[in-house]
Amino acid sequence: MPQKAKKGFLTSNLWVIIAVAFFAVFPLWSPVIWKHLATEIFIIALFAMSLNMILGRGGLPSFGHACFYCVGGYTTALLTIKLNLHFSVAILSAPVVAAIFAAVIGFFSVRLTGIHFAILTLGFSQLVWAVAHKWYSFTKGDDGITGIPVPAAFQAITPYYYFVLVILIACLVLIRIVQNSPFGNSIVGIRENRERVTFSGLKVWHHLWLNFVIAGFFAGLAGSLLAILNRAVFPDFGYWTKSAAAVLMCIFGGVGVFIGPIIGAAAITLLEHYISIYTFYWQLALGCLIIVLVMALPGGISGYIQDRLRAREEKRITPEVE
Amino acid sequence: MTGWVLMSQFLSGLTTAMIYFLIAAGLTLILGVLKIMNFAQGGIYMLGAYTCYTFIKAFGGTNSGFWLTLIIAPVAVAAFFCFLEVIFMRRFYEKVGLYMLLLTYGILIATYDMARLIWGWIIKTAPMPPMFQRPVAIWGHPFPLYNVFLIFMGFFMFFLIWFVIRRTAWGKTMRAAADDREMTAALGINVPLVFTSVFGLGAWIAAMGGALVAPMGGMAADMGIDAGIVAFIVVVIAGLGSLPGALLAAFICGEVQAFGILVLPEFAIAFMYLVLVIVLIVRPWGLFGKPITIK
Repeated sequence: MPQKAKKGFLTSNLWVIIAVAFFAVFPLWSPVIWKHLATEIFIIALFAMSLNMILGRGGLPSFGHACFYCVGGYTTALLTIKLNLHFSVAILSAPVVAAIFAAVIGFFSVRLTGIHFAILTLGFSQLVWAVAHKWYSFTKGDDGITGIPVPAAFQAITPYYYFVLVILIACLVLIRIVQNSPFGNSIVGIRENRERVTFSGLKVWHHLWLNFVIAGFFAGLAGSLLAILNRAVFPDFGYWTKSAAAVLMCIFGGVGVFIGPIIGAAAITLLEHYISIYTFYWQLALGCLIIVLVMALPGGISGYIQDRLRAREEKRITPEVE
Repeated sequence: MTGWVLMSQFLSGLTTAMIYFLIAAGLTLILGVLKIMNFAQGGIYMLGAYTCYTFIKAFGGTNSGFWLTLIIAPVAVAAFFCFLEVIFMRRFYEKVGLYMLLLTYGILIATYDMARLIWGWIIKTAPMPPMFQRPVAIWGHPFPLYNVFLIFMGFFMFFLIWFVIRRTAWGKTMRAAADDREMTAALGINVPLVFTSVFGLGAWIAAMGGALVAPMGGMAADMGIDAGIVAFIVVVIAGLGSLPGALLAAFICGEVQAFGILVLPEFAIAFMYLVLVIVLIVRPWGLFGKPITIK
């Protein structure tokens, strides 16, 4: 048996430190458009991470996650514009309201699995979308709400970039803690063998429900951050294609790896951005890419890298058999 | 007067219901036999409409051209999707369902841009065949003849599909393959071929729906994305894989929308989703589906 060497904090978290250091100095030399794009990627990454709590860890294919994203965005917009509440109140209440929505939707959804779960979450999110899309007197319908006031400190992109970066890192740490807790492990246990976990006396339903609510909480926060970045919300935040895109990001990056959704979110957002510079038909390119990806890399990008690394590691530690 | 208002809402709801049924019927067939959720179904419907437009134009907008189009266009679209099934989808039936979802989603967004690439960004309208360019009188009020034809076609297609599945040898192999793939293969039936044919039939039905819709109004590339979601709602309300259920669910959705406009015009689309959510909470397996055990 190979002895796993005990590494120090610095070496074991080397890549994390490099990444954080890179993004901390990134705005110093990059143009505004890149900073804007990077901020957007952070927000979408948070959204994809929250989905992966249900999709990757829980093994439940949610196709309605954009609903909480949309709710978070609208909460921020309505609180700041209609009630003139302070920015901080709006940003703090968005995830709470999203979590309440998640509690209601999750209450009905987590009893189901597989295709039925996908459809029920999809149905609920479309209901929310339809209301946001049509209720002109309250949500301004398909025009969306524009002109969200932003405090002077966040008017420029650079401070907001750092603000979002700090929130993202904090959320990643929180998600990591949740996933490594006994609670997080039992979610994986439920995914692997629901029956056995039930027999061991765990309340499966409660665990999945709580997991759903936590995921909704983070998605709502992401929606709120995006609303502030764009100074606007639109009902299409919650349309089913947004949910499908998030599922795509998770799978593209790899559902089985912690940072998989972040890689997927970054890859898809960058691809969208750069392909749409060259052609109007970026969806055709993206569609073809998805098809190629599913055929060639079923574990996603990070899953593929992890497999390679593991194979190399095994090659190194197992002596060659002649 | 109000009697006629209700009647005309009912008829327009029925027309919508028939369109929903045609999109959903192909989906429910594919879901029932192949056990995959085909996101591309809306894309097939959209391509059916555009192909119909091209053929009607090519035949000069005549009556006989229209009938010929109804025969050729859906078959052409179905053939294209059979080709895709053989190349891409065939090898994924045994793997995790999530990949299949992504694959069909990829095909959906690719067809979306493909249509814009071929037919352009401007909304197109296929000419109405001359024989349908007049209204019929119902209770002394004019009603478009084409809508009557569409309602008739909806029922006709229902019986045709039902006949194929229940009364032909092809339908029998389909049902056998849906029940037990391995056993059917062991009996010497070419299961991959059966699957391709089922996918083709499902695509043909959706493309027929698109072709029938083409002369009714403008078509845009994103009609597939909206139609796809409606098809899902219908299939889920019906119960996965149930054909009579799909007809009933399409009827409910069409009528709820038509009468919803009278009651609360703002929320007409929301009503359909509300029906979906209520059905899923009360009967998660749908109106006609088999109960699933919930742990």
